[in-house]
Amino acid sequence: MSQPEALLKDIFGQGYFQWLIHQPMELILLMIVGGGLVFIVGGVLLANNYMTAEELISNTLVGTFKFMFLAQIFTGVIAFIMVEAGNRYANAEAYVDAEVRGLQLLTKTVSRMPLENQTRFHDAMKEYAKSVAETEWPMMVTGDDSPVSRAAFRRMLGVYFSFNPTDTADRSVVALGNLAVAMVVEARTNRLNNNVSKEFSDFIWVSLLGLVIITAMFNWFFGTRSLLSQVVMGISLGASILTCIFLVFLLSNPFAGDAAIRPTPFLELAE
Amino acid sequence: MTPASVPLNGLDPVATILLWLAVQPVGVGAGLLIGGGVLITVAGITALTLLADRATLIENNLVGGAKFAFLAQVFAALLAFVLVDGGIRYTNARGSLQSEASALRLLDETVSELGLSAREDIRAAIRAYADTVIRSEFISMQQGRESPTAAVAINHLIDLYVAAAPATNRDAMIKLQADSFLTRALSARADRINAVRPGLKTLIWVIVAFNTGLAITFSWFFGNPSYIGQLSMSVLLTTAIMTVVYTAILLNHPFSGDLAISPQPFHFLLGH
Repeated sequence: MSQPEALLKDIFGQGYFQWLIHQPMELILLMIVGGGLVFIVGGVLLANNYMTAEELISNTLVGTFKFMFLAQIFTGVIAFIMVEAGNRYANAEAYVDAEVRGLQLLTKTVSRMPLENQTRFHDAMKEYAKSVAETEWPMMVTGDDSPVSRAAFRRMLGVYFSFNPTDTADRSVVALGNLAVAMVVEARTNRLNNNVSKEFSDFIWVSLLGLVIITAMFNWFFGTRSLLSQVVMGISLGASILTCIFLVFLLSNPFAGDAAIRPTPFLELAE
Repeated sequence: MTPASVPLNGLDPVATILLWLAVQPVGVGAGLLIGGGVLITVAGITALTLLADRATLIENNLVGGAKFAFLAQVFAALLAFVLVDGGIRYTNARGSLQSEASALRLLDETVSELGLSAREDIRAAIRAYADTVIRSEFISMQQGRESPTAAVAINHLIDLYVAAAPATNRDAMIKLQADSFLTRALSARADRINAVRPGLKTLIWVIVAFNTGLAITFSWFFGNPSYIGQLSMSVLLTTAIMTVVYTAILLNHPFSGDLAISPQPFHFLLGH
């Protein structure tokens, strides 16, 4: 377990982020945006209780420059994470699609095999597709593969490579089949490695969380004579930041939660 | 394709609005989006000027200015994300379309050298597939999906190709070469369809719309002794914001509207 992950588990119990991503999308939105806004507004009210309006207004003059500096840093981090998470989600979709298309092509190329081998291959392929959809999908949330799927994959390839081409026509079909195998192996590897930088992501999440908390707390020390204006502006800024965080959270978990990529193409292959 | 002939059924409301905007001529789409934003801004500024105390609004400027500038940075990051994402999708869609057409053309050329009776059937299937992509899939891709008719056509091509068994070493060698063109065409087809896949587009655009609303309304709460000055600056800002949002919408719909990618490479394949 990486240090940031251990730290998070210590703070939030058993894998807070893992628990959160499996909740309904509305609840995630409520917890991230709602929770963040309560923190922001609560802090503003607290600061106004302990400091006078004049003190808060005088903070604003100096604080503005520092706040703007913080804004630049925050933007750099959030832009980087958003693009990275967006790529991860789009790549995950592409790898799933490539693997399914490769399996479809491979299925077509076994037509030259003896009928018994064809049946064995179809059974093995369906078993693999079913195991990916049912056992590997939940495990990919944590960047792992399923031993069941791994074994099924080996069995499927074993059946395919057991075919011994005897004439030119057979060899020709096998050549195309080998290209399809390469497509499937590459797509499967990419799909499984898509979450491999998990420790790095957790570290990024901790950094981002820290930045959001600092930004929210910075807001507390600014003031105007109108508390309502202060609260409304704080909510507006907070809502903007927190909706971006909500989006990043969903994008960075392509195989979990309500917004996850579904294993439907694999289930269709298994039918 | 004319805007009226693009089917909008089967999409969620957000995707429908976005596609409808994307298929309009640029002048109309941009006019509606920017004009709408400007109208809302004018209404908001005017209402606040009439209803709120000007001195209180001016007092907001110092704190509000800092928060508004921070919000601008976050909003800029969000817009940069949708622009970069849209730009990548647009470039990938165009690149994969060209790769697919050139791979199919190479496949066609290579297959024409085969001494097999199925040769002409395979070549006809390539053309039938290209024709289906132009006629059917360019419409489906606007809705973010592949065309079932094109999927049937490509499967038919693969079936014919796999069934064509070479009898001589020469044919086997030619087919070995053709295999790589077929798989390249299939990969390019997958990339092309992936480039328009909706993914979390609806959620992303809801968040963009929400943040656009925040960015526009936030400036209403600033005070300025001059109503015209306040109004002019806000209108200019809204125009800039809506222009970027419209650009992002167009980039995220690479097969729709005036800036749509043309099926020219497939026309060229059919004409060859």
